[in-house]
Amino acid sequence: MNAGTAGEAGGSSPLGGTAGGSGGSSPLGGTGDRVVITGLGVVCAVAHDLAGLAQAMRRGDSAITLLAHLDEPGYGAPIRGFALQRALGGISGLAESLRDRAIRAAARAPLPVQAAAVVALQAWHHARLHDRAPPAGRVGVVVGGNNLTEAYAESQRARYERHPAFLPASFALHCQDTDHVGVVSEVLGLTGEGCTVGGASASGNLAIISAARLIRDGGADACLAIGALAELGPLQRRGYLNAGAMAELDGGFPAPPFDRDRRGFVPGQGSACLVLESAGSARRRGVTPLAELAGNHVALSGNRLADPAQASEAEVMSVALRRAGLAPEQVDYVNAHGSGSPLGDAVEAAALDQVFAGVPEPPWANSTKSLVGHCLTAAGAVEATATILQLRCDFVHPNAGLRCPLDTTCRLAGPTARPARLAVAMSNSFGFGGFHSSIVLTKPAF
Amino acid sequence: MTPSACAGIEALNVYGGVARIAVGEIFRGRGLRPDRYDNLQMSARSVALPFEDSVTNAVNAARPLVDALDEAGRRRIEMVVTATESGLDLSKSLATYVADHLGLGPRCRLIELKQACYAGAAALQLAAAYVASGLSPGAKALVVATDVALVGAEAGYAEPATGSGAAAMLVSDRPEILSLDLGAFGLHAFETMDTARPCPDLDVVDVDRSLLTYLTCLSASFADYRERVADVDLVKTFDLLAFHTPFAGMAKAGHRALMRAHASVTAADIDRDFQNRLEPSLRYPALVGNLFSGSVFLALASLIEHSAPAGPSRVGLFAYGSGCSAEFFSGLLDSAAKPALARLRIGEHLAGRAELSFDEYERLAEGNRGCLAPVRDRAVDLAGLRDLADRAPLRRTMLALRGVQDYHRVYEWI
Amino acid sequence: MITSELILREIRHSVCDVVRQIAPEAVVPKVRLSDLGCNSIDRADIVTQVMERLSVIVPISEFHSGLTVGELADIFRKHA
Repeated sequence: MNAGTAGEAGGSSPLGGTAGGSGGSSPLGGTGDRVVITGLGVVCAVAHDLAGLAQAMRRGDSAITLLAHLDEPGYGAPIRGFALQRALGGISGLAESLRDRAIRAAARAPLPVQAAAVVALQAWHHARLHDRAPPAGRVGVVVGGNNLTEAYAESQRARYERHPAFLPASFALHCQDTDHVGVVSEVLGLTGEGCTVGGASASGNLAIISAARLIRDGGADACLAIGALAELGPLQRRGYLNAGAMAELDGGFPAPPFDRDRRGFVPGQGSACLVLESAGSARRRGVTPLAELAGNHVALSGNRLADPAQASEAEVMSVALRRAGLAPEQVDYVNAHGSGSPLGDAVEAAALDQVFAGVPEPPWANSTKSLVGHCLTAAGAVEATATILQLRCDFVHPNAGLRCPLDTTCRLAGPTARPARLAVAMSNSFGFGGFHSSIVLTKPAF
Repeated sequence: MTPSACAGIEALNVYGGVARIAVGEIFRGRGLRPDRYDNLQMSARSVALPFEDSVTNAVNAARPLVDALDEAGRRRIEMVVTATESGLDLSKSLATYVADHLGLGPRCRLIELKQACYAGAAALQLAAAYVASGLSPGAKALVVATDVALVGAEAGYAEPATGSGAAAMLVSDRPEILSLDLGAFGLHAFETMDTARPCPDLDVVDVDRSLLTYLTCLSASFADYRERVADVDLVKTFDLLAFHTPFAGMAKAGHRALMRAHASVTAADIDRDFQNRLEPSLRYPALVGNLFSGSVFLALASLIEHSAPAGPSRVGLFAYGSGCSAEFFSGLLDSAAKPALARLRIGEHLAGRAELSFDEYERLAEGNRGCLAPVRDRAVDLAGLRDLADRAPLRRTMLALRGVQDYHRVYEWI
Repeated sequence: MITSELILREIRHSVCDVVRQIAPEAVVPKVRLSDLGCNSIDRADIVTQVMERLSVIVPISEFHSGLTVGELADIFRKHA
């Protein structure tokens, strides 16, 4: 390869012919088994796209507000000013044909389905799937959520009571959770596997894990994991209040998760989509992963009630880490479930203390619910998105409004965003009925 | 002591700031002649924010490369070379600050190189020679070409074409990005006063002289390359080309002159050749502006991301620094280069920069003029300026100047 | 009073609401709903929507596939 040296008087030598590069190891290493995330999409109370969410996270903007217009006023983080056409217009480079298909399929659908269509298209674009995608039959879609249509069903009641014949035919479609899957698959032309997966407030993580399983199983090259927006019907809202889970109106602005004065969760409206893909598929498409899903674990606690189980929480975190081949001391950041529940946050803090006992540098921890509310069925997906944003941008968002933090091993983020070198992150989601889940996300190895 | 068979760029990143202004806006705001706009072939330029300087640019460019190394890899960085015409002290190198804020250890040479826009390529060649010598097998060097712009209205047409930022390279014996053709180079240097930076807040530019010197050096250094290396044909030997690009129009003019002098081809052939071999290298420079000695590496990054070579390809590179010193050199890109560079998402970061209005730009440019001026004490209102940085919401956490205390510069991550 | 024009107007309004990209002028008596891009659920939605807006109840059995806009209007007029 050498082309002559300075010492050779007057002579010249030919250039080396073949690739001199040492080759090095292939960028993503290993088999196509590894699951990576290549695209993200989000709409929520603080922002209607990824850049907006990142900005809000840096600033610590909280969208939690008093909803005075409700029949029963209370606190919430509602999506504001969302309109399907405008949201689609915000997707740079969206082809006319895709835009028209989305309008055709979703313009008259309930809000959660519209949000799912938008975040799916945002993530599709982010993952450059509009440029080059695997065959349609090799792309799946899993929507996390259950009981997604109660607000819609309630909204049709008046019509039905005027005369049953006035109930729209499309009610038969829109009243089912699976409408989400049908609409997204129609807009994107997907003919791989699809389903909804229900796990109450753990649904978002369950969707991500189901999508990953499908890919690891060889059943798909890529799979969209969507957390469905929870549009609470009046009975659902009242149910949470009566169960003492939701922060009541009395008592002023609710204290955030992990605050000693917390008194329950504040519902948030949001939806997020993650494009999961095999490392091999991403490599073939020439697309760089945003993060890797390095490990995950789900466990029930044999309990149908709403109360949390410390042992189960610690177990899912520990096993997820073990599956990722990582030790607790390697975790830089935890996106806690942190719902604001008086008991729930205390139990999670204890579980975190158990998992991270004795580590030299405890991880940062925060709860995205302090910014966007508890997105319930979508929480796991919205929070995985927030986790990946922080991983990539090397900062930890504030726990907005945190004044009297609980004692915990983890370093709870304060009122302002903190720069932090993050390589390994964990995100927890727990749900009523004993659902416990934890996922481990890592920055892709260079 | 066994020399290494290969040496070159193991990893490359380019930092083009977090704010930009459309070149058209500068033309409008300054009342520049619109017909000169097409000549530049630029669409935007990077603008430094008040807490940015040549140290922060260098660290923000190098950080992803250092973070990607494991502990063992980081320990092998034995040399940090900052190549710059935006020095902050006549004695103390930027490399001292850069190595410190990147968290590198003490077993390292820290040094600064200066020769206008040639210093970066010179640093690369010196680092590669060290790596290839076998004196310290497995050693890595971090080379960062880093600069800030000082231009304002008085710079005329140079103002819209000047950029700000840095190009960082890890140089080693595992050159995944570009394997240098060791010993294949052509040199041309002489004394001339075409452009210079005689004071920390003053650029002197003789545009015509600079263009002529650039063209002369391109032709002469290529001729020297042909003397040292056998069987070189301008058209056949190089699959791709990347030149120092003060503005895209200049690189294009250089290509045309070189082709006329060293290849027997028609005007149509020259045009086709330009589209195939050089044009892909101009897209990032067209969005950033003149990146000084980092410019040829910005062009190389652009080339890798925007071309689709079938197999290993040979790139011909030309670096030129006013005053002047120039080099034509070459290296091999293999198929791993494109995915390796893609991981850094350079294009996305450039696209995510905040868009400035002309008024905002004018205020910032005025402030940036004093960026390199020596000052004993200075405080920067970081809290008040964060919103400006956050207009690029998907930016990574970045190093920022917090202030100067007794001539010592203090930085913070924001 | 429910006139033929009113019925036609309501059908046109409903078709445009259900199939967003249709120009109102395209909704004329002799065109088939399916040719306007309405699928089976759309057609059923149009029927229930017009029923509600006119407060006219029509047994579902009266409707069949392949109806034109004009034929649909006739069915409503019969039951108005």
